[in-house]
Amino acid sequence: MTHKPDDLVVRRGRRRFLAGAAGLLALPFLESIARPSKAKAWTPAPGMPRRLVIFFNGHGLIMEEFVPRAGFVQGALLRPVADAGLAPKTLVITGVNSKVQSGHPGAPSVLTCTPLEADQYGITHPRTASVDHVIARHMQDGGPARRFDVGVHDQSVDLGARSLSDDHTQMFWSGDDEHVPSIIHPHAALDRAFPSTTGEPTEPTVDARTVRRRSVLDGALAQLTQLQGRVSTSDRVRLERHAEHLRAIELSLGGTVAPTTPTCADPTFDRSATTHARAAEVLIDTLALAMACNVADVGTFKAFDMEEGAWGHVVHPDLATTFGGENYHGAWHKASDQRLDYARRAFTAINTWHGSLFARLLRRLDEVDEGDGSALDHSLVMWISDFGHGGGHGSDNLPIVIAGNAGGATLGRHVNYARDPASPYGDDGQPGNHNLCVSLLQAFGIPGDRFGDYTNVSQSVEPGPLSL
Amino acid sequence: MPRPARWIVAVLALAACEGQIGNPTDPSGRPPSERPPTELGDPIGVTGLRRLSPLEVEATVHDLLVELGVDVTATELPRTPLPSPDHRHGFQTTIATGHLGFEQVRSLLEWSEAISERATADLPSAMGCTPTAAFDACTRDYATRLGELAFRRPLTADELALFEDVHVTVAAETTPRDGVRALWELALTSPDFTYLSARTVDDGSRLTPHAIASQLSYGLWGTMPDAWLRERTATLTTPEAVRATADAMLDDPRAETIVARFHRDWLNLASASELDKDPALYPEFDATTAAALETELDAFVVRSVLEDRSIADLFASRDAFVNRRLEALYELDLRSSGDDDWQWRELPPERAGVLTRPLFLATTAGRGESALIHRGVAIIEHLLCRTLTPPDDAIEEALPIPVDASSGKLAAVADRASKPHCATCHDTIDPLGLAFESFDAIGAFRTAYPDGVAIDPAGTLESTFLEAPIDYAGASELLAELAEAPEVQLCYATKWSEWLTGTPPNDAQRAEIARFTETPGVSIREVLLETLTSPWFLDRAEIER
Repeated sequence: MTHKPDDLVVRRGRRRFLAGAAGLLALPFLESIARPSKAKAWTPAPGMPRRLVIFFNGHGLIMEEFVPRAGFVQGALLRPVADAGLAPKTLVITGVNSKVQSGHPGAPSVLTCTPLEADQYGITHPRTASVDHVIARHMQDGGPARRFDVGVHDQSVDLGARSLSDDHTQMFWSGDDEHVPSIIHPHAALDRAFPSTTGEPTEPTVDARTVRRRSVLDGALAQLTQLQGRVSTSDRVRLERHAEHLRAIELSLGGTVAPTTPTCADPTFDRSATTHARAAEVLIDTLALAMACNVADVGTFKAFDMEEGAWGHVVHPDLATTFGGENYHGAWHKASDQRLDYARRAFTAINTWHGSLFARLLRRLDEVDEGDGSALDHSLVMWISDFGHGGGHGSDNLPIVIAGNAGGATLGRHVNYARDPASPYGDDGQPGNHNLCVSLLQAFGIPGDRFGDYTNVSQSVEPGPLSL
Repeated sequence: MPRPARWIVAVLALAACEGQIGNPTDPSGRPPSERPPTELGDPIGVTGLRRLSPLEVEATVHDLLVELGVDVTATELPRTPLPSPDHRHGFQTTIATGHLGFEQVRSLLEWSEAISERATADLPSAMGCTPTAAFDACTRDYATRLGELAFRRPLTADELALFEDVHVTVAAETTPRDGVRALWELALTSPDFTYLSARTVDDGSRLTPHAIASQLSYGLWGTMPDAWLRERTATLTTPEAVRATADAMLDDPRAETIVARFHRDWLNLASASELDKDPALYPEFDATTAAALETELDAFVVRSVLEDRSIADLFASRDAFVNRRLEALYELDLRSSGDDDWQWRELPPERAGVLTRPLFLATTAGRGESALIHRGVAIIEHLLCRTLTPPDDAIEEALPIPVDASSGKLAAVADRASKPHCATCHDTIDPLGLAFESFDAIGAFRTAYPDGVAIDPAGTLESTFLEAPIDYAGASELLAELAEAPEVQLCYATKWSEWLTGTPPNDAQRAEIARFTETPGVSIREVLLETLTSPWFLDRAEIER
């Protein structure tokens, strides 16, 4: 049997569906991008997405403001998407249950679909890569993944910080206990994506950096090899992994795909950011541009747990005292009962800000003309969180939006996997995160109907993708 | 009004909370006496490479730049992209087993480039000579110093040749400055920088003197060895020499920073900037008061550790370092003249040790009201070394805890007690937290909630580790009794061992640490010195190759 979507309104998206010409004029950096050439091993089959972009915020959402009303009318959270005219290019999914582990410890299992294992120090972590990384490897025929990971963090406006890992909710993993950090500073993000344009003032040419890197990486590898002979087996494995990464960086030197258009070679846009809200926008713009310019196959954006000073701007001033000084995680805990009106209002405001950033990402991609469609039409973009309702810390109703190329699924509708005893998905009547991950893999042409661990789960989970 | 029944806290009953409260060193649940010796571990040596924490990396780079003549005062240094150890597992020094992923390694390389840019901004002044494309005396001396400082040991001939090769290759294709930048980038991306050396002397398991010096330096100072320690390094071949050096290092102001950081990490204390209190309820609590709480707690723990105080003293002492604001908060007669006039004073009898100080109490509180669950959990985890695992399920079923400052939370306590699913753990957590209800959200003493309901912090604590139940009228009595319990003293000492070695002690090492703490009145400083000269600090277990 198939799950009957709550809402069967289907709108086939027109190729360009922008709010208006003004939207374009405001975006000088994207105007002249033609479809970048594909100089990599992986060639997508016709109709297959060319790239994967995941937008993530931790701690879930105010679900009643996320779920579309009848007629695919968007609530507060997705209204920015609707306002940009992009709702017809999205598919909203609810009712997917993260079946490996719930609560905070479950975040790393959402996209790895494997339980966390404790090391000898009691620190738990997943042993396998998350689905985004598996797709990234596949797109390079198993070679080093080409990823571009950014995120907005307290220190995104602090010139000192570049990339950070620390946070409550770690979703993206490149392998056994290898967390993928996010570049949090707009300047650093631009420098990573387009190194030729942002060299430090004293850097004579980018070639000097490449020359140094080649020697430095060789030297660091020699040092690693030396050290490996002196350590225990488990540390030797750690060091070998470190060495593999150094070799991968070395391989990528000079081997990156040369940007083919003037804009990709020299992107110019206002990258200044003195507020967190602005930093988030610049990071989203950089991510969209990097993906459109074929800098990476897989891109992610993460809204970190921030201190109130960094997210408080989106909350009504009346609410400021309620969470005063709390970080994002602490505020959710204070508001753990979302029947409380102030909690619902505050987090609706914050989640709507997330929604506006997601809409910006879609808009930026949709503005890029790639001939037979926009960059959005050729991308699989997903918004996901680790919880459903943030206050309950429950993971049995993940909020998911898939936009662009949904692997053949029809867009412009809401699919809700309500608990159904007759469901083919398992005892609880809900599909699991495994089914979602298999859907993503299949969208990228990776065969198979399983991903992750199907044994150590809270509820039974069936092989196969989501039926969409 | 009849006196409410005393809360009986039965830590004895922790086994009933199976799967949620446990002993971290004993996943099997069996006491050491019932487990075969092979499971107890080796008293000798720690295995595992300890990666420097982000704070240590940043302190080291700062010192490195200063030693190599770079002005670091002008602008902030770039922060390292290395991940912090898992915040749920306490110490910054704990060995992080996490692999550095590709993206982290790449970020580390980019970070090293930002540092090298700063380091070489004015090379002739920093080097005292002008580098050329050749590996001449100027550059060779500089490279040797850089390598030895960054790796915290002498360079081998192969390594010096490697530095030469890197400089010459890069400088030939670019500029001499790029050649020197590459040396910095190599130094900072090498595993010898990122990991603490675990090199042992050729004929055994003893760490080399350089490895011991590094381990002492990061454990007690949080940064690389300085010139004084480098000079003494060659002598670090016996436990006696290590003891004398460590003893001297504890007298250095850097040790005070680390002692304070240890206690902040151990108790998960908020920093002053994180403390935010409701101005309507606490008009006197501002940023200056918050900073005073930090000063007071740091001064107290530094004196406890560095001035030969006992472990019991840390949990029971009523000595406090106060200024005028804190005198008011503690309701002492006012002798201090203001914010900058600090004096040691004796606190009233409702206080006992570090866990009744306002910084701990304000950390374990919301904006307006104390957070009794946080306080109960802190006692269980930090004082008794038990672990708690939050329930997996949604927490919506429990009665919400009101956010206002009133006795309304007592209804939530009763609600949790009535729900078996909650009660398995909250039967222990909540009564311990209630003992601390006499302290409000900024740590001031009170006898009633703002709505007038009287506070009754009295209770009885029973546990297998106690010879007799502790009947207490309030937190200070409870703490004064616990302060003498061998289990509590051992727990605290194992935390220091974990800080210094990067690994929680195994059962065999715990048994050794118990020997240190069984001496009545043993000082914390002595426990530290014993740990620093123990086999698991100085030696490395036999490793499989």
